[in-house]
Amino acid sequence: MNYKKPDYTESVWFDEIECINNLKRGSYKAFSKIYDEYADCVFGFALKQLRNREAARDVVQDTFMRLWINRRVVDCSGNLRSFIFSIARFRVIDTLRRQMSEPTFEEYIEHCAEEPADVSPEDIIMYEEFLALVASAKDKLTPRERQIYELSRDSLLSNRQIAEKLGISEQTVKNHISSALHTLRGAIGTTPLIFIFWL
Amino acid sequence: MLSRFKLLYRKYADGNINPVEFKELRDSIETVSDDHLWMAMLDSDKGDLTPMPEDMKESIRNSLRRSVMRLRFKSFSRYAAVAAVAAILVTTAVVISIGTSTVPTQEFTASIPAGSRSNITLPDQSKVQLNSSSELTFCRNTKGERIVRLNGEAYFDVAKDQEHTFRVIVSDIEVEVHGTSFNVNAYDDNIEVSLESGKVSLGGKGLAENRYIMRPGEKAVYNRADGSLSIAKADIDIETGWLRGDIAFEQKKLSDVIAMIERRYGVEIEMQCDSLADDTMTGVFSNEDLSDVLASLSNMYKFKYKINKNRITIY
Repeated sequence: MNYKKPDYTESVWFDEIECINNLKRGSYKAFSKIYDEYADCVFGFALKQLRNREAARDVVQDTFMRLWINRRVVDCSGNLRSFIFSIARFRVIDTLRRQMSEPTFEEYIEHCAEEPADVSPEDIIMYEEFLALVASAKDKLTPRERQIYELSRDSLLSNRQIAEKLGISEQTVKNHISSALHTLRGAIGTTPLIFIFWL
Repeated sequence: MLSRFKLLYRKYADGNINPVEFKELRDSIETVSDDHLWMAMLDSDKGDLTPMPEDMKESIRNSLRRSVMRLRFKSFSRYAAVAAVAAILVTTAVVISIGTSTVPTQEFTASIPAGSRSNITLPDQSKVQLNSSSELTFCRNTKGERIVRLNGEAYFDVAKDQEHTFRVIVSDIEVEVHGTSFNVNAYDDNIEVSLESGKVSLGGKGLAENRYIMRPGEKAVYNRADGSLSIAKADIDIETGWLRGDIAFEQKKLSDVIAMIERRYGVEIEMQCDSLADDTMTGVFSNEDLSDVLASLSNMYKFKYKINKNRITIY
């Protein structure tokens, strides 16, 4: 009898091309490897543009989800990093445009500008932290100030729209917003004096 | 104008833009094209990027995994539909009588434990890939015909030899080969033969008078219990997925899928929720870690499981 011991050959892969091929075949393992490799650079890039950890997190999740959904069209010969960035592009641009048009974002930029110049990059406050500060500082507003501030900042109504909605004059709306901002700035902890120039 | 935009954007990204400049940047962001904005963004990347916090990385990983598993089970229904349409029962077939004696002259045996796979070359230079928990013997009969007996599953790439027929005997049916590649799966009650290329014919005691000549792309399913043979369209990717470490199944009971997992990973699985055992499913696990396979099933069936070395309990 002729007995031959079988050779146990298991495929092992680490390189990118192989990883992409496995991804295209629907391998979750390959997908997870690619995530581990590229999640940091997508996050770091989005964070730098958006200055917002929560939004950068959403970009990463959205990008890799769409990488999985579009795995069959991944171009194997190209470089994976630029493919992933091209997926991230839409979401980063879209979020940036929306975020920049928020009045609170402008307040955030002003808040940053007042920080001492020698603050280290790690200590620069992120937008989502600023939003949290504003949210907790809102407790210091009168109910009317708070209502008007939220209509202006969260619902993005103009002063005229707010005035019509509440049946008060536009000037009263302006006054409320102005005093709300003053209170908030005090609560957030920057020197209130500088804010006098803001309105 | 554009370089002014780039300059402002860089100041913004570096965190040292003043409120007046910011208003200018915000206004131009509304009009600048996506391409220019993207270029400014790429420009701002100076390799000083903050890595993602570990807990955030982990939480995204988990939520991606859940979505991937959900999406995957959704896409399975596609395979299920194909299988249902393609299944045609064959009642008559070409009849060729057989009656060759199979006296062994030279024997070769290979047996693969659960959890492993193996490539072997038979003495006639045919290539065989044997799946886990499978056993194969090869011999030549007095006529010099090549005879393979198989338990389990194997993929054959048969060396051309017009003079000497290559036969695969699985329980009471035989696959006679005419220079070709095909897959035989004989783990359970159903013996499945999928033909990738070339020509094979099915015969043997079990098929008595109903010999069947397969065409490439077909999958023949013979039921050992009632002796019926049905022919369906083979999805070669699914049938031979195990060659790449995949576990692929089409309209299989959960209990059969569990058996496939046991063989593939060399583990024992105890099912304590019998109500699920007969649930049928179609799908693929692509060369994944056992933990991912279990997580994905438990996510679908809402069961819990414990792993204790090579024993897994599902409850």
